[in-house]
Amino acid sequence: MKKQPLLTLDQVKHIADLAKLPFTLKETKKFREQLSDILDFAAQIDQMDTKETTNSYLKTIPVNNFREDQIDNSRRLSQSEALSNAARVSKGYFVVKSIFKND
Amino acid sequence: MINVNPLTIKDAILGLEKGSFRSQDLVESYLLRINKYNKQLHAFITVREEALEEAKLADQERKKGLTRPLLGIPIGVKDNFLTKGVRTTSASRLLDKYIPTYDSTVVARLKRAGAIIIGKTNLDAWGHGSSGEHTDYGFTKNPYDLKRVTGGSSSGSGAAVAASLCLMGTGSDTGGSNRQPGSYCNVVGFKPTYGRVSRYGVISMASSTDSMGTLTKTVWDTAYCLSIIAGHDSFDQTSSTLPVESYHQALTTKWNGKVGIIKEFFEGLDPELATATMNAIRVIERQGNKIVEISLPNVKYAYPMYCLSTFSEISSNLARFDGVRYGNDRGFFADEPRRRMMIGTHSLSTGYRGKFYDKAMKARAILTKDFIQAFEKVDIIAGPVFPFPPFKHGEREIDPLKMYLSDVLTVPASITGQPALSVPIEFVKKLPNGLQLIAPHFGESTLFKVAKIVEEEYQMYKKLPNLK
Repeated sequence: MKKQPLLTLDQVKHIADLAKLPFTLKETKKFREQLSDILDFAAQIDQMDTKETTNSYLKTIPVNNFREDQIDNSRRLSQSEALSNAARVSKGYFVVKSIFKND
Repeated sequence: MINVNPLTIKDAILGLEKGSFRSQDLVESYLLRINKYNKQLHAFITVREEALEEAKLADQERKKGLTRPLLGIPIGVKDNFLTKGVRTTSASRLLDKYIPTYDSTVVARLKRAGAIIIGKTNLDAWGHGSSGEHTDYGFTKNPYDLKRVTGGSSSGSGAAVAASLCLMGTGSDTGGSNRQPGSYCNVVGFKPTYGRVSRYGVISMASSTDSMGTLTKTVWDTAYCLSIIAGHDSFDQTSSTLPVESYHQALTTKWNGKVGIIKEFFEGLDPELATATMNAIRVIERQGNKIVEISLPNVKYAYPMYCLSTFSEISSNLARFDGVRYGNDRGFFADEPRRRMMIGTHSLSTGYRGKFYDKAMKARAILTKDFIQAFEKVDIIAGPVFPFPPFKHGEREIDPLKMYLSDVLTVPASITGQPALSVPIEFVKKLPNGLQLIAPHFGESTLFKVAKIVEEEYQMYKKLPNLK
């Protein structure tokens, strides 16, 4: 008998909400199975003893790599460049979906 | 028209310098081949006819006695590398009309070196995949067997170089994405040390793991290109300040050292593939190098830890695709990116982050330490790239988990950030196959020298695909 999936349908819906991803009910059910299988598999790392470990594993990068807080004009995008790929533009602004509902 | 089929970058540079042909001839010949074969192969998503004009300009520059390292050399750029003014889709309809307003650093450096971008190559969308099948633009076919996959995610670059549609393809490797098409397409697929090459301007997949490299026909070509693209970039805070060597010149000095074989890498392999891999390792041994067997038991947790850390970072990086500033809305994401984002979001969410993401990062620290310790006993690690030869389209689609297990041999070097490549060795069941080599951090010189030993023995770059 196949065991219960790790995630409930409600959990999947919650994750989808956090991730801002649209799902049909049919997809939610399919993903519940698939995600549960993957998480089940990934949970194998529980078997590793990580008590004494810090998570600084990146041995190659420079530390605290800061720069002066100055504008580099060679990297600036003009307003039209910045807007050039937008779905909807109005008077030099990005247009977004309505946030406030007027009752 | 010139016969570009057998050409490498080294050959092309020589030919251009001697005046045997012009850059215009090169580009015309490659464009002809692309027009002939791309509909079958789907190696390119976007082809640039403007490359011809750029080639003519390169020829004029050369006539004036000016020279640059890649002047007039036609290359492909994986379609997750931003190219200013040239459509960049990441193989997803979400970015179908996206035209970047800046170049990625790798592209800027290649352009500054005089390279000509002949087109944008196909990939598993967002870098999510190792077969080349997860694209919205027609999956890339293996030039050596059109019914089979190229490997991914740098599928188009692998196929384009193998089919002689360009001289080099850029690639991003996060879990094996350059090495896998290298192996399946009979070309050299290379992943540098994390931080060796700038990630700026490449659509981010996993920020702690993404590494920018190349697909080329030969080791010399790979080394030459690395000398051009490597080096600190102030736009990438994780890029290394270590000096860039002249990697192609270092190839002339002989290498001797100990070759490590990881016992766990040889479990569950296709038997013929295992034999071919060992044959190649014995080639290195015959030159007076000792083989040392090592056991790294934590390798069995490599894919689980990769999964959690990478998918978490994916969920964060793909959050920027809001359909407002660029691209279509998030409904355009296909199943694979959605799966990864969902796993990642869950792994980072309240109550789960400690168990999943944080634990995975600690696990990565342990595995990295294991590999660093292994390199105290050996100088290079050799093994297979895939557990099995190139599979047929659709053969591994059904179960996502099964798909992921194609990556078990390549993710360790991604997790540790060490440089690795696939160099072509003898075919298995009449299909391409590569030997994976892994070197210590910033040990690219060693990597290339050992790869050259293998390349000289097999000379697989002479075995061209039979395209009709």
